[in-house]
Amino acid sequence: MIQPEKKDIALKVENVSIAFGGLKAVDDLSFSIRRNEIYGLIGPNGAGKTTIFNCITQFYKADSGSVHFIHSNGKETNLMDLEVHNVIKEGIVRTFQNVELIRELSIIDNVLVGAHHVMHQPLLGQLFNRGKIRRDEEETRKKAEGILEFLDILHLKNFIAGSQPYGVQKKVEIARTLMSNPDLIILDEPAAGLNDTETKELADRIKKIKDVYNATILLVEHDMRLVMDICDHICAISFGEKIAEGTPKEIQSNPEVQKAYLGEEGELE
Amino acid sequence: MANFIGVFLRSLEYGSFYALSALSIILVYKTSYTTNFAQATLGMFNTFLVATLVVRQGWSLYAAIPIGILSAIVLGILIDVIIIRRATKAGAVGKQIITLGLISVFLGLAPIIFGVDNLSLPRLISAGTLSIFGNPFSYNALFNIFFGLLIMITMFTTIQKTKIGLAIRTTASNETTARIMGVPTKTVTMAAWAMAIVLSLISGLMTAPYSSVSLTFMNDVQITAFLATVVGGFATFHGPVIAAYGISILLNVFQVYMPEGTVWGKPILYAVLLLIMYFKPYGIFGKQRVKKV
Amino acid sequence: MIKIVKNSYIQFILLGLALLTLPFIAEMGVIRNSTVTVIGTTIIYTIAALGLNVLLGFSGLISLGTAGFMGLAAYISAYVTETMNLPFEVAVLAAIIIPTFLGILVGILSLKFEGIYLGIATLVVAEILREIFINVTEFTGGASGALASRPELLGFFKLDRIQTYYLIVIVMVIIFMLIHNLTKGHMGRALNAMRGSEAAAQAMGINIFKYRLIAFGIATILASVSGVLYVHYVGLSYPTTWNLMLSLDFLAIIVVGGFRSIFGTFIGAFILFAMSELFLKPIPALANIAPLVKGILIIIFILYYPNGLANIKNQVSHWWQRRKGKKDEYGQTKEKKKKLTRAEVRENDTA
Repeated sequence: MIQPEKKDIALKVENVSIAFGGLKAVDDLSFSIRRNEIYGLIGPNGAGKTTIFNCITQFYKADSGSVHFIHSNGKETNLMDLEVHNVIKEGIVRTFQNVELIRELSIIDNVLVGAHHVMHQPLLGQLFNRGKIRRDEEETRKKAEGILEFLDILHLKNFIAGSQPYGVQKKVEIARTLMSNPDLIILDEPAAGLNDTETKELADRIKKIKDVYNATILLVEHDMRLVMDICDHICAISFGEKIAEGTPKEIQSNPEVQKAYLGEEGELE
Repeated sequence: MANFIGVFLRSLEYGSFYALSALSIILVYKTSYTTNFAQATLGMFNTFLVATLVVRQGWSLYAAIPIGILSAIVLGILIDVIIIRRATKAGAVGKQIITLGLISVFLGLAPIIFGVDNLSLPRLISAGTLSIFGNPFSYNALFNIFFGLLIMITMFTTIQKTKIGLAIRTTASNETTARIMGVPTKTVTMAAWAMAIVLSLISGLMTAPYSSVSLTFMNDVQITAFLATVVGGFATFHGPVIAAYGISILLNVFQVYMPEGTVWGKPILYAVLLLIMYFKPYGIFGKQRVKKV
Repeated sequence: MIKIVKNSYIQFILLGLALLTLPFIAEMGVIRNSTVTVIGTTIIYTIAALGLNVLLGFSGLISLGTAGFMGLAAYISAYVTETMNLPFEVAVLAAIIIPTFLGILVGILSLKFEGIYLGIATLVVAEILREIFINVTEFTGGASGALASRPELLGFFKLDRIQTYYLIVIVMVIIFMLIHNLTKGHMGRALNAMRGSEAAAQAMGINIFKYRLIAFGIATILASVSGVLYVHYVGLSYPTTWNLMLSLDFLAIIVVGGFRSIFGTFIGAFILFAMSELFLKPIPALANIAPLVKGILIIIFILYYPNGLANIKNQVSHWWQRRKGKKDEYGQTKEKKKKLTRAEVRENDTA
């Protein structure tokens, strides 16, 4: 595989390791994601995929190694220096494996939470509900409605998030990430719990998000068809170590990957 | 030195009160996943029943106690069956608030049933004093120390060594798994509530002779017991009990040896324990869990 | 007309105006003077409970120390006005700033604690405060309590009982408006997110530390305001008033009234406090059952109506709208058509 040039890279994970109680969950893992591509992370259950996500978004602090994010203007940030709530300010936003929404609130209110860091509302201004604050609220609400429209769930905007089917909740999470003007969107198993039709629709949607929002996308997914269908590059890991990296074709024909997934013999579909 | 031994023994006696209450709290917590704030009020209610039988009806204390225990068991079963079991939808805070509601219910019931006057309850052992290193120590106090320790030892042996204990421990660690494995978790939870209220009653019966049976006479014991549970951690059964004895010793030492200790010993100890909580947020015997997202 | 009534500000003002008329109604002899006093106290409790609602309802942080902070503010205000002879306004400032500082300290502690541990930590703080109320007699008057007179505004305008009642109502309306502003927008969403999922909140850039402090800050400010109004309205502050039971009452108020609802908090306070004072206590046979009723209400609400009375109102209006919707054929078909076209589009896409 040809190493990408530095200016094309959006995220650079280098030699990241993390252990829990002596057990290595991620071991000396490195990979790079090109700007504006869809990058897939695959591996059997317990391979450490979500752990890597958590290391990138700083929910976990890696024991060693570094995670660099390179902005489109060439500025490089070591994410490991950031607190977890400041990661989004670099333009990196994520979803969660088990949908994390405010169940009691409406869908639109949940989506608005995604705009938290782009809204600048001083406390006193909010207290007296100044005109500026009201306009800011209105604009943000319009933006949220636009995103809900884009994801085909605008008609549900006033429904309570917790009472919606899983597929809709997943979409709400994606809508929430889009509110933050992201450069890098990290999706943790976006297709889990979706049926075939919904998964296909999701694949289209993710490709569209990449183009419309001009974002880089990193995803973990179990649904091989989705991954092979939409990813530009894939990294396969097993027991916290990288076993292969390359295009979907290369990954499919890689014997190591086949071994990790299917045991000694067999072939990936 | 002689003085200190007296302080130490008194700490052990008060430690019994706190430890019994702490064990009551942790039993309910482990099986119902809620902190039972009504622990003291339920203990008060049953102690009031015993005191009423003794003072107003002229019963012997030893005849009244079994009635109190019976009432405690019935109350425990009723609370579990009528309320806690139905609170499946309520979250952790919701269940806590239910126990706060129980406080109101029993604070309301007690004066209606037992009247508004405070009652004085006789000691479990009415007379007799022993001199230990020059400290006069009543048989009753010694009984409290040893009976408290005996209950702790019995409870821990039951929890660690018997089949019932295994059922309690599996229910505590994971209710769903326990149920699938055939543990009668509903019965275990019900029994835990019954046992917890009996423990509160025993704590109340031991505490009452030192003050009087009023609506709030067990509140101080409960607050100390809660502190013990937090400092010891909700993770284990033994943590809170050990912490209860430890806090009792500290409290007595603060009160006796600190200048103006009788007034400021307690609040200062509370503040110290808050600091300990801050640095050991999951208790001295607890472990921090890694949050999964 | 209906649109105007739906505006929250107008609703608050209407409630305020209704409450302001009570002394006149009492003057006419329709209700008793003591009723006005009870309603005034109810409003004072509403304010403290509203603070707890911001903390527990919005942010999901439990506090069993509300009464302690309220008491601290009451004693400070009484001390500054009566013993130090300083103006009422100075007393108000001192009585808000000191407890709030303490409340924010508790907020810092809260970062380390989860649910149950936090409840007990706040309970312990309130117990320490109560020991201070009992023992620092120079400041609190000990068991015999502290006295305070009615507020004197700007150094010359001495309020009487009814004017103090007006002040309380006005303060309530203002607080309702400010809390409405704060919770319906940016900050409210951040607090909600913190409750709903701390992980998601952090991923969305919400600084948990900052917002926990803000939540505790608001809760203590409102408890302090409530304490100040209490001591200058009732005139007395005893250590026994500020116990765990009062903190539990505030909790009960928001459970029954409804989490995250301003009106709900008022209704909760009215049901749990005013109703028993006005309807149960005057009847000797029922006087003692007030706590029993309160306890049963709390349990029933948690079991069956976990969102409180405010949500029952929503359920009824939903039900009403659905009934109306059935009659309103146009609305129905429009909604159906929308869904149908979407399904068609989806089918076309997959085909």
